Amino acid sequence: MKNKFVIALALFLGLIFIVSSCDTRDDYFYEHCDEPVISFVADGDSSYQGSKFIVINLKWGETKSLYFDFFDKYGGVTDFEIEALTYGDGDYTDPAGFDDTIEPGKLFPFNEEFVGIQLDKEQKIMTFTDKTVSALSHLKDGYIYDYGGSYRIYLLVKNKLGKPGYANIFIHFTGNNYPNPEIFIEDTDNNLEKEILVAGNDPDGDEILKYEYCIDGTICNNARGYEVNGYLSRPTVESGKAAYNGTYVTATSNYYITHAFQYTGKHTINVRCQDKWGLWSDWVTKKINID
Amino acid sequence: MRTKIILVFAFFCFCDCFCGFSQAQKAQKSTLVHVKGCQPLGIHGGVGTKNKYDVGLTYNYVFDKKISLLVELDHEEATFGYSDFVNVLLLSPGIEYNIWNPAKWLYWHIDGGASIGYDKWTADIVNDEVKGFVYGANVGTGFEFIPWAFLSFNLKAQQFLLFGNDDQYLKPNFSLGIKYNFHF
Repeated sequence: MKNKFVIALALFLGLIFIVSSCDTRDDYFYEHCDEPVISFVADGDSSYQGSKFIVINLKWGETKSLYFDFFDKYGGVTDFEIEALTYGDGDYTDPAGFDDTIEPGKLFPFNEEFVGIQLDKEQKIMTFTDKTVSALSHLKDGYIYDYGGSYRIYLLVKNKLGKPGYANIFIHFTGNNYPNPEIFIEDTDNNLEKEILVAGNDPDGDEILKYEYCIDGTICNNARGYEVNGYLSRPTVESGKAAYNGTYVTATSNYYITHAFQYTGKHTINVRCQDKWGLWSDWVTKKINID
Repeated sequence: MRTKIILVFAFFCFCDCFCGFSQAQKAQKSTLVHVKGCQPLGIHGGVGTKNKYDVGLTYNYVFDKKISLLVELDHEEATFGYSDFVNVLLLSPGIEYNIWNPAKWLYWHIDGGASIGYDKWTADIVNDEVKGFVYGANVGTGFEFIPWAFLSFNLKAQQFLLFGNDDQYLKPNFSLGIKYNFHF
């Protein structure tokens, strides 16, 4: 009898233990409601509208605004959060040492790039700014580097029930693009005297500050690179040392010069230019024949 | 709190069993309830692990010493996050089986049956409501104490599996009940 009692009691307590851990009900409306849907409109470009994934290309010093909106069955989004994770191969480990929620206005360094993010919850605008103010922002070990980089940000909104909706923002730092100078030759009254004009053609729209001309000389350093306040990138592209022989006009702000050739025949004109960030272009060459 | 209630529940069962053995002589005077034709009718109330309360009615029709028809009617309320839950009614017909009775005043039951009911979910924060029928099954076990032939007390643990309203869920219930035993 006692054995039966002990067995029965054990079974009973066992059943209580089992059933007491089994209530699977949860917040019904949270579980069953659709997540808020985020849509983007970037800089008024309608092609972005409705995307849950968007790419923002940022040049040095550039600011872009991202307008977003959301749809939610329950009409209200009560909370906005943005989370930042670095991008790459599914590994979200943050090499820059942060994985926290971005505070509006906080500055984050990433791979030699700096981005400022502002979130206007009222107007539903995110503003991204590349905080590079000088190529010296990218100075490392005494040299200037122009790293590109990517940066993934999640925009997170929650509806009244706390249901989150996500959208991905992929920030691509395009860095600074080098200018592509183009040479134009204009005749003057003197057949041997020519006017050499240079169009900077900077794809970023940056102002061209300096030009170098090498006429009938030899180019010894033909590379793109920075030269700012005595700091250089590698390989060296220092002004005044990129060519020799011939006529070498170094680091002038003149986008045109007048040159008097000494003889008729074939001549070679080389030009390069430097944008406002201090980035020298490749040398471009134009050959002319003076009869 | 819920854990304490459950522990007290278990402890109460344990103690009652021992006390019952020491009072076996008195208990033998009780009229046997589990005889054909006896129809206990009573009320019960209890809690689960997440709900506010559960109340209901219990009815049995005894076929013999081992088996009886069991019909329970429950009403339950609970809150989960922003969602308020009301199990307006849950009707659970089933079979109750006595697997052990060490004394005439003490029985250990197990039972199982079907369940059909009507649930209502509301969320005031979003002014939304979902309601509809649910159906499923339940199993349970409990002790029945019979101090007098006309009255018995039930301590019971149950587990329900219910479907409906685009959802399915498990819910436990631990209840204490009192039944009046009609002898016809």
